[in-house]
Amino acid sequence: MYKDISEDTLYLSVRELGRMIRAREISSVALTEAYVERLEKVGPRLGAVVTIMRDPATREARAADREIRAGRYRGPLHGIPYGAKDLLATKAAPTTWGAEPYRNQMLGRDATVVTKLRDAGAVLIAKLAMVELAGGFGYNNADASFTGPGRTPWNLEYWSGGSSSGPGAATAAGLVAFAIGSETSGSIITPAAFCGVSGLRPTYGRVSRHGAMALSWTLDKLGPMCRTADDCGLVLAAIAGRDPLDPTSASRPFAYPESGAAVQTRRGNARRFKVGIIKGSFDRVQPEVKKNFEESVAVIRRFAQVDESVEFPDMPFGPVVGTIVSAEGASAFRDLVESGRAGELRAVSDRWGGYAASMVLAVDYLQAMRIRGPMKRAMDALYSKYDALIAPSRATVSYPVGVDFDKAYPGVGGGPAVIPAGNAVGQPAISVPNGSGANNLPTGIQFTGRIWSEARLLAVASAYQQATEWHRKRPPV
Amino acid sequence: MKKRKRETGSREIEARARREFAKTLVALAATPIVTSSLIPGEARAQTPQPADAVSSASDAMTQVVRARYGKYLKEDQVAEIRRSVERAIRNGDRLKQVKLENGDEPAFAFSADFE
Repeated sequence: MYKDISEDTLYLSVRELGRMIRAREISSVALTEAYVERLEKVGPRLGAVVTIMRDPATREARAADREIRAGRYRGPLHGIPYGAKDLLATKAAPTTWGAEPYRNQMLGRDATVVTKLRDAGAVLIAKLAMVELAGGFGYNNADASFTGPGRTPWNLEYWSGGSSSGPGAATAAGLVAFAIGSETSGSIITPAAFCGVSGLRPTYGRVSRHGAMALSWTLDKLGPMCRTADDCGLVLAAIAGRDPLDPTSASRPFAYPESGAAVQTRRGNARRFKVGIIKGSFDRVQPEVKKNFEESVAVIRRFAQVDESVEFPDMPFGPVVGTIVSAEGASAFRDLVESGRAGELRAVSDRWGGYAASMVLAVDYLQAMRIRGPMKRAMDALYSKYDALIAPSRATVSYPVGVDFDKAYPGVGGGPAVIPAGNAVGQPAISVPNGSGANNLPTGIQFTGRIWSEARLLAVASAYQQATEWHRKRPPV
Repeated sequence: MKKRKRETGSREIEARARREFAKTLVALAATPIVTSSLIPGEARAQTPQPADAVSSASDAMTQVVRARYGKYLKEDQVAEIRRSVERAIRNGDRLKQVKLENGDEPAFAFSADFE
């Protein structure tokens, strides 16, 4: 028990918690205190927490309870405690970007996402750990944050994934009801897979980046990490939308029914979902990853028409993303690199990665940016035929802490670069848990879709979760 | 004493950088430098085999890094940068293989407006 709240309650979905708060079966204050206690107790073992915001969170929770008692209910996030990756600016706490040189940084403002969530009534209770500088300098080991390696709650000897390491681990371990992560190329999908949670990477421009640390202005995206795909829809509805402070944010509408009607309506429709399997995406993965993926496909066939072996465009997605991240990241952190303070970073490879990245030629950066046009056209031509294309989220389970990534599972991997491809063209994707692999570690399946198709992706992923129980499994912490 | 030794080491690196910088400029023809993808394994799996030209260009670009930032770097780090640069050059070669038309613009737009 945590402050009279059972551990079972702390693992409930946002939708379920929201219903209980609205019905006044639990209070936001009690839930906040319980999560804070669990953050203090479990968070350090996971390397998941930077700052616990007990006092401001308690004030926000009291205000939420007062409003709800007065009949001013704001919606399904009202009174719900959450955590934010520590690259989102907050007035009330340092914003460290996971990096030693910035560990005392006070930015004096709130990111737009933080403001929007406060407006929706959510309660910010913690700044969560992350890989330093969101991994932009090429880290090759889990020990890449000034808070130490992030650990998955399924097996503390293994990495939580990155760069949204804290949001993944904290959500999986019931330390928060949901979290906000960010992805430049893989930083939501990977920790979602390695921690066994549902992580949504929205379309580029869907969510304002104002107040978020910039690694790559043209690739960075913010998105929810939750225990269900349905919760991701609730959170995305609160944070999506045009923001004058981020000129790349879009005014495209995103509505997610508070009742979850989208999923039910879709299931009742005569037309089934059309899903394609990305050819070659599971040929060279770990055996458990392959088995779990094949079992997932069998489940998906129950509610969708499935096309086998969909050919993915053969384009240099990885090199394009790598070139852009290097150039934009080296520019974003030029002061750090030129001051020599990159040497204070935790990961050995991060101490020199920025110097190599600083040498990207302008013509190569522009070449990469020009290729994104043909890439977008090729990807959209393919994706316009499907509600979702699917692949294993990662070729392996998580990497052991203390072993360099490139030495952990030699010979495993390859196949289409699904994550870099989606990021290069700004498409959305969601990873949800689909089984267990070696060493009790979770595996994930990713549903990827056309730009602005988050509602459809969420419907497909929710249909999968309604037919499975993997998202209800709890880690042994 | 320790600090002084380190400063001496840095001066040696810088001196070597100056000596080799002239050679470097010759080899700087259109050499793309990128680091790997954020996802371990995904970008590296696509890289072509090394070639002499790639190796020469990697040496040259590494000398630029040494000239600019040698005072912050140890020799083992410079060696890592050299390997990273070589990987990146091969990635850059792949970018050049994509056929583009003159009108294919970069995927960003400058706006004269303030918003």
